[in-house]
Amino acid sequence: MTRLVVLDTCLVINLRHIQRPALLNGLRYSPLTTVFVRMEFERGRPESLEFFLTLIETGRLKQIRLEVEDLVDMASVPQSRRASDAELSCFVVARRLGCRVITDDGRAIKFLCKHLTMDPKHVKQTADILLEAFETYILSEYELREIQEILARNQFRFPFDLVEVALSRRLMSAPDPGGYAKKSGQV
Amino acid sequence: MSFDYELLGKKLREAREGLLIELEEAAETLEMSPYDYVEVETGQRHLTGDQIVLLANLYRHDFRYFVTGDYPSAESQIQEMFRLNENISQADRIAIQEFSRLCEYQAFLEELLGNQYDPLPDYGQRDFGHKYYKRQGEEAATWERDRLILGRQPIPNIFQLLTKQGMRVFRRKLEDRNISGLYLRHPVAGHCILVNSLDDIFRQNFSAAHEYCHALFDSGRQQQVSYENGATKQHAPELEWRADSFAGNFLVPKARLELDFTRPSGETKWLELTREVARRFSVNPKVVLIRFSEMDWINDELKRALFSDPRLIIHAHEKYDPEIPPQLSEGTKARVTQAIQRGLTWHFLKLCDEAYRQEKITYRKVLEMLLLPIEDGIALLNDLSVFVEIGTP
Repeated sequence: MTRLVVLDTCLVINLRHIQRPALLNGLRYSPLTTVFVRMEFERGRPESLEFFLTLIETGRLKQIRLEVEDLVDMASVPQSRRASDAELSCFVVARRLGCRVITDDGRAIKFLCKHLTMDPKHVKQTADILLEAFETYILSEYELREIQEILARNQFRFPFDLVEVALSRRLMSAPDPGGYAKKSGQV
Repeated sequence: MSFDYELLGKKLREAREGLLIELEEAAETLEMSPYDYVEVETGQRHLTGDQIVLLANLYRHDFRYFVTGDYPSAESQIQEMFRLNENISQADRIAIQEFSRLCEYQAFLEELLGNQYDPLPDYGQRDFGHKYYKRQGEEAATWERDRLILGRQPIPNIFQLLTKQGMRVFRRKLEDRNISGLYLRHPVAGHCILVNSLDDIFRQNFSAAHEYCHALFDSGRQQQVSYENGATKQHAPELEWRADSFAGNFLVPKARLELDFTRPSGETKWLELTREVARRFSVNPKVVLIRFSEMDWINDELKRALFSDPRLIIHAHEKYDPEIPPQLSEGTKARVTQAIQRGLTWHFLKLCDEAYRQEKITYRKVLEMLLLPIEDGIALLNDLSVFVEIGTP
């Protein structure tokens, strides 16, 4: 079963930088985006627009139609102009569809979840996607490190070591191999 | 409450006609026939949200203007400006519409940051005791220098001086060289000035002071376009004479000239003096000659001779733009210069930076407001050490 998710510009740009256009689809997501995100690419550099359009043409990303009611919803968010129209549209659509949204700006997440009364758990970030890809063995430790470096070179720096977080998560979720807990009488 | 498609259609039509966009182009944007688009503008055909967004983008409007009834835009002022100045080209109309949006953004940022300014004096309401427009400009220039505690010194950065009074001042390249600048009284952003950056920086300083005069005297008119070519000054030319007189007196005060300079003899000496004064006060030599003439330092014959002397020209490399901070590295300076050439200001960039750091706006909102291609915006923000704050998973 695939999972609907609404993508903001940021993740699309990151997918281009790391040259992994199918990453989300590999994780069984069905990514959607809005006309506002598309327009940001249309105003951007040709290579970014080409990447975006290829995602659309190959069906890896679908542009969901905004309705007039969505725009009215967006305009009625208190102080809606504090976030970009693209961010706002992704959150409004995600709320309408009851699905998750992927964006990276911590401030946008805080602000929009508060004003759209959305649970922050409904928001994913680039890091979540990469960690999920590592957990499901789509990405290796080596690839994750390389991706982190590429993103950092493109002014996208995680405030933590992605590989370290990924490895510690894997360790925590792994079954107790030596039965240490049992032997030590903790069970 | 149902959505008012008739009102939407009316707004769309006004916006399209204001920007001289053909019906066919609008229809093409929505991939529909012109016949169908006519129905959109009459409210008979209902648009989707996507289609409204595409048209808002084409017409350089915030989508909120089209879907809400209370969005405070300067639409009526701009439409009036376009109506009174039919010769404004399509490209310049688009630039003016974008300028209006930048003014709205700036007012929004200042409001978020709690910046407050005292209202400007309204000299239009003052009783001068006479009806000589040029003299009114001269008197107001003196009062303004006193009010702003400028003494008689040259003004190093007129744009900063106006911005510090809460005015929205932007510079953009307008393709019509005859338009030196314009003034707009925005219902929310207040006094807004656009200076044509196609002119050299000394000319732009004069234009800024000229438009400042319109803000001081003519804000009741809501808008005013200033032309360099006197022949095109069709609407209230006396207001333009007053603004020119104000700008000359404000930028180059007579008292300072009398204090620091003595009248030389011989045309060459006059040329040297004119160039020296022009460089010191950052105005074009012709402005200085007009000041000399107004002070009866030179007669008409000498003025004409000096006006046509090619040695009077001050070349671009002798002028500097006060809006580009000298302390920036070469790379950053190049990017900031590019941003300024595209119509942004250093003050606006600093406001964006401050609002983001104070967590008033999101990173992407900053990018949106810069009106730059997203990658260029990211590079510029990187130069300013503004990075997206990524949350922890």
